[in-house]
Amino acid sequence: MKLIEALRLSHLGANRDAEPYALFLACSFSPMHFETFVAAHLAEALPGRRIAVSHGRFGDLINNLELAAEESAQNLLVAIEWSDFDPRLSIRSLGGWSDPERIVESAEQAADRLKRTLSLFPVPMVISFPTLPLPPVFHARSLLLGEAESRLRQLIAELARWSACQAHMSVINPDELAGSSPLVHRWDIKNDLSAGFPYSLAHADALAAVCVRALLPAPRRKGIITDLDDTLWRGIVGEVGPENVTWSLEHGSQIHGLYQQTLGALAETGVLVAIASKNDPAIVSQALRRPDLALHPEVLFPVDAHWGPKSESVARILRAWNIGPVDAVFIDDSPLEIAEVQSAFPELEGRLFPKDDPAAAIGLLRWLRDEFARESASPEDKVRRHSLEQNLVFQAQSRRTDTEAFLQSLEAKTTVQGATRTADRAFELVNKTNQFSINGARYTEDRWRACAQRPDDFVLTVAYQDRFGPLGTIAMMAGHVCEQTIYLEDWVISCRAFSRRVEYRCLASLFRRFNKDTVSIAFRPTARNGPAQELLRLFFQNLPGNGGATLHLTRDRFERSCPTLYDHVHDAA
Amino acid sequence: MMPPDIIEQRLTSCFQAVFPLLDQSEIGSAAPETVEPWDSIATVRLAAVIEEEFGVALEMDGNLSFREILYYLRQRLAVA
Repeated sequence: MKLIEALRLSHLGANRDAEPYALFLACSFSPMHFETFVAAHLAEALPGRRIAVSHGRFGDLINNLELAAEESAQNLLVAIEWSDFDPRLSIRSLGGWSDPERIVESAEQAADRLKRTLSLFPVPMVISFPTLPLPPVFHARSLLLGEAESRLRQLIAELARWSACQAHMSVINPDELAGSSPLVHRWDIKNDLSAGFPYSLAHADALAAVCVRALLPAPRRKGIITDLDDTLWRGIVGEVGPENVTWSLEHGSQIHGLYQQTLGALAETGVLVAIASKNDPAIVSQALRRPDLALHPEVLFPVDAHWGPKSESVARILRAWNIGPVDAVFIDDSPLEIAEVQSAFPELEGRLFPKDDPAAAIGLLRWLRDEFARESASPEDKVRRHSLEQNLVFQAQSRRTDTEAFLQSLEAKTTVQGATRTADRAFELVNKTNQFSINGARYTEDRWRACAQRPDDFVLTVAYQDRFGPLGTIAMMAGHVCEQTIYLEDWVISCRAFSRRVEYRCLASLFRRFNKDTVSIAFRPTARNGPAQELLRLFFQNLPGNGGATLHLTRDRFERSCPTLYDHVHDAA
Repeated sequence: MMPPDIIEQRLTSCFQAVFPLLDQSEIGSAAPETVEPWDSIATVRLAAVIEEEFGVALEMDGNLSFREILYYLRQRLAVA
């Protein structure tokens, strides 16, 4: 992005009537063009929001962080440079370079202060550690890493490690930044000396772009549908046999093994992985039983192998996962297959597996990590695949049995629990759920947290398990309570929990927990919230169209329409 | 080499980006004394935008008006 474009975008984001997104930029250099690029990238990522970037005083990072705390900043971007560890690491001061050991000692003290100050902030923050080359402070020749410099770099690495371990801190990965901003082009020495702004325009733009991506992470997709032949392995299994397809270094097919490893690791974090293959299912099953496979075959669900069009496989897989095409990607080595699938599912992203281009294949693995990965798997992530499999059994059994008898036999346990407005499961659910969502509202982290400032605010999560296994936290309700009314602003239920009367349990729990006579539901129809509309039609004959409206559900009306609930419910604080 | 009209158009765009509240009719006569938000930061910002837009280093002293910058750029970039 050029500066002129950034200036235009940052002005566009300044619409006074729009909902604000406020960011405090903490740095000790003059933020100047960096601030402009940050505002521009935010404006681009959050169209319709009013972007307000504020910053502190020149020359004192700690003071600026304290100022951010005083201002109760909700979003924080901390851009740290060498001078924040000792002014002598800046070319703007003349404190002497004769004693590098003393500079490192002073940097150690500064790092401690910085750590203590950063600890004061419970808000989401993105931290960028020094991105510029060091000035010629150290005595070793430039091509050698001397002891003092290595101590200084170790200090930064340790501080970055500590920050990365804090739940609310995100640390910019220097390798990612190096991809868009080569080290040699980052430092504008002339501007640093004349205006206290050390970044070249290109570097300011690249760093701002990376920081904004870290501040506003895109929602994760849910599933990967992959081909087998010349994708999950090298070779056509139907021609060479299950024992002769390969994925190893000695067979020149290592890239397929790495692909398997990536899928296996992503599956561990809750990503769904399915097979869509034109093959004989018996041969596929044999190949997937090979003990040297680099992923556990159990993570593959469903495995859809047949000789029909792959779009049919994709349709079945999406149904089994109960997700939309926009939440999945399809990977195949054949452009023709990708085109066929995309003609049936235009919203599904298709990616070619570059079987003959290892560098491009590593690029694909990196992309998969970026699109799907998370650092740790939540309890829901860990049970997702199992509960989807069990859901198929559940659906099959429920069709064969009398509904009431079947529900009674489930031994269901529901736990309704108060939650806080942090970036946890409730936040994830409200931003991911489409089908049972009363209005399809989405939240940024700052908007979500801001609601907690209301004295009568509430968030409830609902966890469920039955004899088919635990589903984890599968529903959330949020809103506020005023006099005799519960204002239900957000209510979502994961599609995995459908057909279990969880929706009725949610409403019953609301009435019981708050002991009020009315739940006012902020309803808005969306293209995808049919299941939520279906439930509300039981209580309200005519649902509002387009913009929606608040629906007032009285306790009497609810109780008249509520079927028998067989679950054991536990209401926790 | 750049035609004079294009230089003026692009310089006007630079001023619009840095001073978005300035009316287009006022840009031709814009000078540090007449434009209220034209402070030292605006000067640095304007210089950076112009340098990036025209690919030249501005070697000019002090805060200069639109006309003075236009003249300078024409001298350096215009076709004969």
